[in-house]
Amino acid sequence: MDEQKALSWQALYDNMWGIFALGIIVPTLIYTVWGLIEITTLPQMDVSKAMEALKPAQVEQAVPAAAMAPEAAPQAPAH
Amino acid sequence: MSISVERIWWRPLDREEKIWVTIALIWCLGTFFMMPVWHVIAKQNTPNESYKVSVDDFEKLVTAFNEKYKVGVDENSGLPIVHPPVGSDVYLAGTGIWQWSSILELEVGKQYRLHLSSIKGGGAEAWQHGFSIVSSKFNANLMMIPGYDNVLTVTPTEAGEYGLICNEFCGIGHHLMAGKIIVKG
Repeated sequence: MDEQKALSWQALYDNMWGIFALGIIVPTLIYTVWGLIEITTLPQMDVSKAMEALKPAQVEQAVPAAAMAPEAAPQAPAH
Repeated sequence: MSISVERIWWRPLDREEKIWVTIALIWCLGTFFMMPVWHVIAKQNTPNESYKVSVDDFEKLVTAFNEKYKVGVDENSGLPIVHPPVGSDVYLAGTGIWQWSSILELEVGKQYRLHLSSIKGGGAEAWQHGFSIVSSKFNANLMMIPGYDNVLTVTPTEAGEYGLICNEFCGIGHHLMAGKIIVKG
């Protein structure tokens, strides 16, 4: 048998609990923690600005015929 | 009884093992770098624009959007057909009663900003849905998550009617979520 001493990372890989800990820690950091950071730092949507753009088009206020200048008032159809 | 051979696994690799490890490593690196390369070459651009928005607020946006740009009603589904202006913000959601909020009518060659999320609609809960275009030519695949607005910038390139399905199992009515996007030439 080779009496060569294992390097520290090799010793870690030979340790069942070391591998288990790595298997938990690495995905937790890369997936879970990174994902939580992404979610918590998302900006808030500007809803009022978005709603402003979706307001119904402005309809011109109907002006009563009586308030119009005589020349602009609608003419009654001739019979 | 167990059979084990006492040996030290970190002994130098022999030639054949080195070749196999090298091939595997090259393959891994190749597939890894294909992701960013394909992102650019094939224009498979994953959207990276998202916002937080309450379910109620997004429902108000969807309702206002549908009311403002509605041009008709689809006979089969009863959903409003909505024709938004070119370049505008488009709001589309999956609802709590397993429907799409509208059938979009877009124009070829024009760009739109699709805001995708999930709303209650009909008083039910807002479920997590998926947005997936059914086409042998085009692909889009996003999640529609309650409380989040995922923005997809799209430019339809061919006229036609494209099916829309939910690709996240969202409950008992998941199979009912068959929608449509109409692209006019």
